[in-house]
Amino acid sequence: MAINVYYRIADAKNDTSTVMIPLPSTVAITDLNDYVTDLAAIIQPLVNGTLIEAGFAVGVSVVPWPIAAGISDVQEKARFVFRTAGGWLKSLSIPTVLESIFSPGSREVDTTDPDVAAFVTAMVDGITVASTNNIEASDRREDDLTNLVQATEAWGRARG
Amino acid sequence: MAKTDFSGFEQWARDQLANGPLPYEDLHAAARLEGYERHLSHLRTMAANGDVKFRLTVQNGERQHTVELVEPELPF
Repeated sequence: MAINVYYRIADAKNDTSTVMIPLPSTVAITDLNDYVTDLAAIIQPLVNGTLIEAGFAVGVSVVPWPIAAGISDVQEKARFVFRTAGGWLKSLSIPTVLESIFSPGSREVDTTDPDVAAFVTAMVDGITVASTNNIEASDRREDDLTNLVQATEAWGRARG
Repeated sequence: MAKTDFSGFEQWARDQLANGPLPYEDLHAAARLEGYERHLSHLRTMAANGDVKFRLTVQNGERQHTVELVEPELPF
């Protein structure tokens, strides 16, 4: 699958838009840092916004998920807020969440639910992959996520 | 707001895990039977205190999510 180089650009109102540029999967990962840096310098003279973030995403062939349920809605999200080792907060939202992950009569995610608990473990403690390395999630500062602070319903707008 | 006393749950969890790691799903099922389901979130506090450890692997799409005691209590 293609490697996607991306640049997230913000305007004066802090609205953002992301430019995605695919590259062949044969491009060496070790060259990508230079490529992303070089192309940023090429794009910058073309815009009057500011660069919020640049990077690359490597597509991975995963086992296909079932087709979207008829009632699924990307605006129906669960928002997880984690604390990092350095005390920062990192939030992320999962779209099209199942209603059943929320505690009955509540906006709180049921963190004791086995599916939810596995996700929290993946974020906080990491996943031990086939190589036996344990891969732990971090925030943008590469600060380790250490605990879940909050998990709530977050019905919001769709994001591209 | 009244504080919840987790000491009973902690001992129960230690007993459950005394013989080695358990799948989280099994611990969850056992907690439901004992009325401890809502207390399971306290396992995160126990993990933060270094008492238990969560471990997550995925093999052939199958999740294996276990909980274990960091230092199992000796039988004497």
